[in-house]
Amino acid sequence: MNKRIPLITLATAGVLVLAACASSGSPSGGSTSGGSGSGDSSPIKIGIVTPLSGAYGSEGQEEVRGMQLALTANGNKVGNHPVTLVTADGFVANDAIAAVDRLVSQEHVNIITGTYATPTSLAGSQEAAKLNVPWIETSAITDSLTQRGLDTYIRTGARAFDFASASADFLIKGLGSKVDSKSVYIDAENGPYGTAVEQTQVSKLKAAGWKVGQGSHASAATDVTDSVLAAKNAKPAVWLLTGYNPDLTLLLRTAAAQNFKPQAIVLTGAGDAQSVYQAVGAKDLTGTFVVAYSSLIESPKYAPGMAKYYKAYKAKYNSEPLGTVSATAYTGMTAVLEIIKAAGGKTDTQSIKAGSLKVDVPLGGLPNGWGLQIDQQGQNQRIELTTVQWRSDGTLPAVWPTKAVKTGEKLELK
Amino acid sequence: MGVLTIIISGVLVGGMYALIAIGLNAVFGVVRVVNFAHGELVVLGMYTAYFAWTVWSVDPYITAVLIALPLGFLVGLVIQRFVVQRLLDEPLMQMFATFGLLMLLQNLFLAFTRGEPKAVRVAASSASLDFFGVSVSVSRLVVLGAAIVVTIILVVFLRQTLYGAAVRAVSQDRGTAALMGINVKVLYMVAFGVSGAIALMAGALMSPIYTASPALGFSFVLPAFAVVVLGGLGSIGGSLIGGLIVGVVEALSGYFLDPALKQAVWFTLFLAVLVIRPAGLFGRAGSEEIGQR
Repeated sequence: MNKRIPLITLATAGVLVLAACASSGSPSGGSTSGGSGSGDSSPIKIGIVTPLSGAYGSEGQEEVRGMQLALTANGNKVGNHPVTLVTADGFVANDAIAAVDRLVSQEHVNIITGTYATPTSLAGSQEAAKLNVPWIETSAITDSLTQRGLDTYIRTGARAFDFASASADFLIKGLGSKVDSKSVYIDAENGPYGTAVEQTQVSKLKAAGWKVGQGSHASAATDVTDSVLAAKNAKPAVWLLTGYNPDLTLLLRTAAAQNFKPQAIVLTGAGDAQSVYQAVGAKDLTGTFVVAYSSLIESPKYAPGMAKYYKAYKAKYNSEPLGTVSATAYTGMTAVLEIIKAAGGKTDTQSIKAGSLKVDVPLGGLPNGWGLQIDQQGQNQRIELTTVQWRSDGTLPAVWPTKAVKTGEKLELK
Repeated sequence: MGVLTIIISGVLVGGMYALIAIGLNAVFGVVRVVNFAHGELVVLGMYTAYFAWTVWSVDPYITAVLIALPLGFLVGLVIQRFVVQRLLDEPLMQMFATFGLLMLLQNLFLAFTRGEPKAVRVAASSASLDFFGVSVSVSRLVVLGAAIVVTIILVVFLRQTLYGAAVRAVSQDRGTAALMGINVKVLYMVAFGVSGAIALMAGALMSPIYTASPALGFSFVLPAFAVVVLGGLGSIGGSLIGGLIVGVVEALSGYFLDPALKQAVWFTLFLAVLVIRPAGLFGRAGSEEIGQR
């Protein structure tokens, strides 16, 4: 019997399934209601929802490490309440929802935090809201997360807007006086994250009188010669890039191959990983700026807890942290504990919301130099991102803002 | 100058797509299996090159020939023998199985690397040649050269040798070929082995260009599928030319239209070929329907 198989159908199905998988997401970014009061010492359980497997599993595991270290640093308690952490794996929407359901119904967590990834935060927090469990986000960065009118949702971490603002401010106040002309070519990855960052950068820089050129690239691009040539043709003094480590690496390598050498290259949100240094090489990377989370080489007065965090990480895990994920989570958990403290140890949604509005930690009060002041939308307004600069030895000292700069370091063009 | 630069960069990227597509086509055209995990085999080649470079200081180009080729052949054999062979008469199950293999490999990479990107940096990484004022990347030129050499070797093998004739016979009618005394199972294993060898070699050759990460395979296998369909199912020469076409079309559309439209443009081309000439530009008419008789 002949069995004819329409192979072309299989091929087409293959391409479409792969296309769907390829675009299935990139990072951008408890519970019984009503907890115990300050007069008792009932335990508090905090659930961490984050990707623990799959493409972003390593980042999720780093997130958990950072949070555990912060809890340990606080004596595993807040006030008189002993605190324990429970983790749950979640990246795509269904996983995040299932993780929340499990944490609430089986683990009886009081608060949920996480998440590293916007899809996790988006879906998980909606489910937590249905179950009336507070959600304190520490690391997903998509702006709209705190624009949904979700009363149970608080974010202690940075938004894409903060990265965009910090990079634009760095150009206006830090680089403006050092470059020959106030001209910039902005190239961002063409997903929602990059597009949102680019829009803010463009409006701020134009308002400050900068001549702005614009381009874009796909974060999964295999070749970016077109983007680099477009930037090169614009002859800018500054090339401002937003993306993830792999695409930024490819852009920098291609720029070197095409002999494109603007006075300054500024990367936003990524590009501070050692893999970038290894891939691009000291010759082509030295002098490149990165607007990022806190650097380990910055003034101890500016980021008082980073040295302690780094020492604790090395001691417990006997390895280097993977980028800045765990450091940010360390700060995030510290902020979560501050909010619980401000809520008097109560963990119901109303108390956490009220506590978050009361909390008042000045800049420099959190381990990475941030402060904590939550607005009505649930967003932390005391976030100050730093700009670091690659040195030829592979180190990344902070060079902006001035108060973050360690003695002996300074902002200099290549 | 800008246009020449773009065309050259398109040809070089097309060479990469072609090399990956040739391996994919070896399985697609002969065994008739859609191997979703092919991109992960390319990534395995990149990690192999990284490992050899960091641990033994072996140049990735040496790794490509001396380590990735034999290792890839072995990996291909194992996949065919222990996964695909058991599902030979279940095309849909084969798709699920290779997709499962994709997830397995991705998560293994993740477990072993913690998701940290791994880069190989050798002299060729930043070396370039001047071609009428256009900078041509040496590392990309090597991959294009490899694609051409592999194409020539496979075309000669398929057309000039008895074993090649057996491969062609099996690809056209498995049942009749078996009746003629051809050991189909062994031939399928060899086809998978060759496909794996080319994939790992491609990965090793590309390691000085790209930073290896667990999910990188998607970026390459997606255009490679389009190249296979465009060039023609089972047509090795078609894969080379299809790769170059996709590379140049992608580069030109990115430069003249919008980088965001690059994939849309070659997907349109892909769909147009599917509708107008389902066998692809260089495939034999009807090859897209030749089944497992």
